[in-house]
Amino acid sequence: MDFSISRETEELREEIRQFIKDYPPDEFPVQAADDFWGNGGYSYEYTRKMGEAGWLSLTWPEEWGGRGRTILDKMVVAEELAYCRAPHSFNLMLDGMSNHIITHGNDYLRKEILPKIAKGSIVFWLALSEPNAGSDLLALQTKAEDRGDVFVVNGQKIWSARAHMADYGYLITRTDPNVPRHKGLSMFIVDRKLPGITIEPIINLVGENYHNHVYFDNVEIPKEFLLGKKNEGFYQMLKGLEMDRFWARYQKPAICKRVLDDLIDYCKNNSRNGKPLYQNSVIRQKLAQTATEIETCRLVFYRMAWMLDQKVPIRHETAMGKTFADEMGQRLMDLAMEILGLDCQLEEGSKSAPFKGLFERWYLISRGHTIAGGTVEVMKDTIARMGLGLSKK
Amino acid sequence: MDFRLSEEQQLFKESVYNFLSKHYQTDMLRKMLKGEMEFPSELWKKISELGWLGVAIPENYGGSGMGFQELVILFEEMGSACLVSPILSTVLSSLLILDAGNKKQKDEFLPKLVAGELRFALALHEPGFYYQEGGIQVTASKVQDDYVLNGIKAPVPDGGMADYFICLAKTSDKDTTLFIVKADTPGVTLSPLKTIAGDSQVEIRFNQVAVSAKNILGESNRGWAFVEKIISKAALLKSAEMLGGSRKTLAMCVEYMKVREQFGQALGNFQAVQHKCAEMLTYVDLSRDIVYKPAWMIDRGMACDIDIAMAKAWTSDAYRKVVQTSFQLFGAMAFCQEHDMHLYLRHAKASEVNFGDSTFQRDLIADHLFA
Ligand SMILES: Cc1cc2nc3c(=O)[nH]c(=O)nc-3n(C[C@H](O)[C@H](O)[C@H](O)COP(=O)(O)OP(=O)(O)OC[C@H]3O[C@@H](n4cnc5c(N)ncnc54)[C@H](O)[C@@H]3O)c2cc1C
Ligand SMILES: Cc1cc2nc3c(=O)[nH]c(=O)nc-3n(C[C@H](O)[C@H](O)[C@H](O)COP(=O)(O)OP(=O)(O)OC[C@H]3O[C@@H](n4cnc5c(N)ncnc54)[C@H](O)[C@@H]3O)c2cc1C
Repeated sequence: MDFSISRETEELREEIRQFIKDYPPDEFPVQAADDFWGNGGYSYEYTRKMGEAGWLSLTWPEEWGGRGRTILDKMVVAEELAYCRAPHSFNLMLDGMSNHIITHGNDYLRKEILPKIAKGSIVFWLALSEPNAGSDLLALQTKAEDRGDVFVVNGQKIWSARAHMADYGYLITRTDPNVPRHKGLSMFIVDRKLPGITIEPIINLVGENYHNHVYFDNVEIPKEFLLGKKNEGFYQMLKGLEMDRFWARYQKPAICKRVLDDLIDYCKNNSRNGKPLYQNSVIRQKLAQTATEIETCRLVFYRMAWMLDQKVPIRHETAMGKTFADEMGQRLMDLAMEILGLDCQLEEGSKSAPFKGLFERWYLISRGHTIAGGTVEVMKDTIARMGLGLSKK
Repeated sequence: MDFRLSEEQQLFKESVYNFLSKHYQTDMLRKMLKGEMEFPSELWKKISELGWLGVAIPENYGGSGMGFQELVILFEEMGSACLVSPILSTVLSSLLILDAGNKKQKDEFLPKLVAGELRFALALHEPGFYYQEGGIQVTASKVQDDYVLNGIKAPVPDGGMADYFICLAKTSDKDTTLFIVKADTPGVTLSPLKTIAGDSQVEIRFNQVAVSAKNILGESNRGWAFVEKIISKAALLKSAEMLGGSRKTLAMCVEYMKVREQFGQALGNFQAVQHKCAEMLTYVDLSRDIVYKPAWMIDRGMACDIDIAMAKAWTSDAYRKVVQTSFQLFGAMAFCQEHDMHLYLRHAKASEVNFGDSTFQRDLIADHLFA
């Protein structure tokens, strides 16, 4: 065993720290608020800066313009960014997407899309869920008809997060309705500006346009934008899921660490009924438990990164890591609210709101984390099946 | 023993439910959250006419002279409807004046409070205060026979609409005193606060605010004794709201689990879902008895501070767990502004921290265990 981080990786950590110093996150405008995933708010400008500096393609093979670095390297870089709450947009939307395109894309797609991702000039959205296909994604009905040069898409997607800000969608459709559900699905990369696509906002619980309905009315997608093989979309997606769950949550331990440190600071500087909060034994216990959970979570994500780098097959680990990370984040927000006491009620815009109301917002927002990207309940089914060999009835 | 409501109580409960179903919609709360609306004055008028503001106030002050159990029934239904209103502030101020006030104060204020014509707000909280006298920093210094108030009170529920504040301030090293302060007294400045539950709260700054000794509520240096009692009653009324809120949340969730289908069947068919619902029912079901027993004790003049602490500790945890689980079971639907689940999530958090969260209550219980 070896828990040390290599010198090359440490050098990379220094490099990203320098980048953060050179481009202080606070000085960049954000177009969407920070939702506690760990990747900050969304900033076109910061994403482009990251692109210019080569951070977005860090793990790609050199032949596609990357630096050929490991996923563990990327995890260390992401930790630094997440801790600073830099609006860096590493996650499923870019890391996951580039991975899918490198693995399954044809040369046209790779040449067309990868350089744009690398430059930080485009963002993706995920067009998966439908009104009747949530946890049961296989029930999806949006169909794509093969007309030779184009596929014609008709149907409706829901919960398309930030589709209104995105350039391309990662779309799953039914291409063969006459075979068992999992056999007739295909993946596409879809340009949001194609005629026939209508986007309607869904306002979220804190009053922001986060999700969207996306309607497809005879949308013609050029055949080159088929991602992978026709009718094999589901198998491709399953293969990608291990990675996707990793990419979707690998910054969680670092952002939780940041919150923990902020709370520790708060406890040092605030008192309740004349007694400093850091002397409150209940709060001490809970902070210590949080520190333990964060370290545990960080290690399991390091283990996953190592497994992915070493091509060790993933079984239940990413489902477990995602579940643990999301529930840990929610527990941490419960604790944050408890520590802030009565002031925890104060929203952004209130004069005396601690942390400018950030934790109040995250308390509410983080309830969605155990739903997004596969619910905790669905993950637990996966963990029981993949980790323990218990079959579904 | 009898675990049923009396016939009159049942009728009262139904009347509250019917009124709120007809006159209050959660869309009003959504507007209050966005700051587009304040609590509607027509609704306030109707509520006062129904006598809700004077449920536990004697008839000679215009109240209906019912007991604390009826008050708990009212608050349970308010919680179930997710009604966010200045009712609690009004009820608590009346109870406090009834307990601590002199004859003149009672005669002057109670009938108008009960009729909804006068608004009071309790200015207890301040930075660093968590329901213990030692946390009070706002000072009232004696200048000849009168007092001068200085300091910050926040958050103060319903302070923005109040005609008067009841302010707790330090009058000696160890002691505190309650003062009735007119909201438009020179030196009082309000700043509105935005809150998680959409209720109206403010920060109040007292800068050299002169208050006559005649406006002391109760006795000087004896403020805390009265406040302690009112906090305990407030905790019980919050518990009743939380009982109602958790009951409604569970009902909405179970309804949805019966109709939402995935994997070719209703979600309620899945054992993992059923077990979560069973746990929620346990929380809600047990909340009822632990909330109603202290109300019954108050009506019989029995001491029940610890019973109330248990009720508040239990319902705070129960409501939080029930609402978080229900939210989860609604899936992404719950994440929408249009859906009611986040309103309950917000209400649960605010109710949990107000008048002592479960950790605070457990401290009280432990103090009692080792007394
Ligand atoms: C913040 C957020 C971001 C999202 N972003 C996107 C996005 O970008 N693109 C996209 O396509 N989708 C997105 N989604 C949608 C997400 O993928 C779905 O919400 C999720 O898959 C669950 O589907 P559902 O909401 O329809 O819930 P349902 O599937 O209806 O489930 C409701 C509840 O029942 C439980 N349940 C379901 N089946 C079972 C079972 N067999 N056993 C036990 N419990 C069960 C679920 O766990 C859940 O708690 C997002 C959701 C959220 C909250
Ligand atoms: C202290 C004690 C005293 C007892 N006294 C008596 C007695 O006086 N007379 C008598 O006849 N028996 C008695 N029993 C036996 C008792 O009734 C059985 O142990 C009990 O019914 C469970 O049966 P089992 O042990 O065969 O476990 P199983 O039925 O094999 O169950 C094993 C585990 O699986 C779980 N499980 C089973 N079915 C499901 C399901 N559908 N969904 C989810 N989980 C499930 C169970 O909850 C349990 O955790 C006693 C047992 C104990 C421990």
